Amino acid sequence: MFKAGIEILKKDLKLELRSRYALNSLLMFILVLVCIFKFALGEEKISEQVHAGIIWALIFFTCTGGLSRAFVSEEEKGTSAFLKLTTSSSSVILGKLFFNILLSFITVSALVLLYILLTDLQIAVPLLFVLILFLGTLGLSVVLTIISSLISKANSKGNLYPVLSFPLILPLMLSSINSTIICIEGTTFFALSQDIILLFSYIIVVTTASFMLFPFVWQD
Amino acid sequence: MSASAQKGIGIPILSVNSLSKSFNNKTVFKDLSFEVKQGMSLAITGKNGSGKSTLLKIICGLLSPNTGQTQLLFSGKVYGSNEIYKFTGFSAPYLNLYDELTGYENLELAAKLRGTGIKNIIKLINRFELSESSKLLCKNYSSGMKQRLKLAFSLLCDPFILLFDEPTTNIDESGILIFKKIIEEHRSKKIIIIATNDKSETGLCENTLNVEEYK
Repeated sequence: MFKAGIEILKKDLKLELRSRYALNSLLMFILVLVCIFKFALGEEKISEQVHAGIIWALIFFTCTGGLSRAFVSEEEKGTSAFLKLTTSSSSVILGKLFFNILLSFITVSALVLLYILLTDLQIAVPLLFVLILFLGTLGLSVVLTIISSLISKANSKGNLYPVLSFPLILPLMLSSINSTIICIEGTTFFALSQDIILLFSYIIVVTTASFMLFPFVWQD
Repeated sequence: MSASAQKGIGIPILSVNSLSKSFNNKTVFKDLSFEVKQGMSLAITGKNGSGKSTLLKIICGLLSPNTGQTQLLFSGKVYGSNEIYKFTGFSAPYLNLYDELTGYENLELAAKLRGTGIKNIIKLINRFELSESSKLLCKNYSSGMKQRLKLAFSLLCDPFILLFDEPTTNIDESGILIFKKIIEEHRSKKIIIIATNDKSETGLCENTLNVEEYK
């Protein structure tokens, strides 16, 4: 299963590098979004709470824009039968997860770096901030991947994606925003331990549920 | 294990038991049953929209039936519909390969996902006379070249069951001859099912099943 998952990741990377569809549009999207926020805010001093909210709103919209392609493109191009005939459903979801996690880490890193550069945001505990970003993005990637598989067979894909994902990602977003505020203000690892445990648990539960649900979604 | 499967331990058998399928309350076929043993070939016929492709999709696990089941008895073990794909080579006009990969890369991906070696790829590419175009992206292939590549894809892992849906669509004379020769080579060792209305293709099979009889 793991080897086949890696092959699907390599295939998706090759397709992405040749078409540059998701990466180019996502990087452009990030640049536009961050610049709009910068122009709107101007030189005004904003609180840590607003910074955290803006960062996670940007991350959410960037990820929903890019990660839905994982399964939608297979359905649109009619290549899902190729995968169904050659490998198991668990390998497919694993490969798609790998690709989406990689894509979201690249885009979220670019987004946060650009945001920090443009807004001159000072983060008191950068290492913990990176850890929260890592866990939050990982959780978001897992949820959005399984939702992408669900909506790929629907007619109104664009509308369904944020509607279905919002209730599922609410606990993740609340915990990530809260932890980000604390990281910007300054804290210790122990003060954040509850949120970190919650994020870990969320990722484990959602990943397990994805692997259990996906075979039923994958079968027509 | 069904009674019919128990009888045939030693001889691989593909059993289709009481299959029914409907779309939007319109019955495609109902209570369709048959068995195909190793060394047998079956042509599935019926007019357009009668359910030939639906039946093939159900056999290889791409589609679920409303009722009934398919199973393969192989080496004394029974495999359900969710495992039959491991033994199946499938080619159909609606099976799409990756346009942004080359012909070789498509076959290589399929071989790696199936966990079989890539040693057959060059042999099949040469056999289907695709050696010159194998390094081109599939989006640059003609429909005939794509169909040849799909036939190569279906034979890649030396599968035990060969399912072909209108296999010679878009293929020229030399491609049809290659296909017919391949069928002759595999006929005695494998299970071959072809969904078609083309008389030259039905003639390749010993048995015929008309899905219209199961309305």
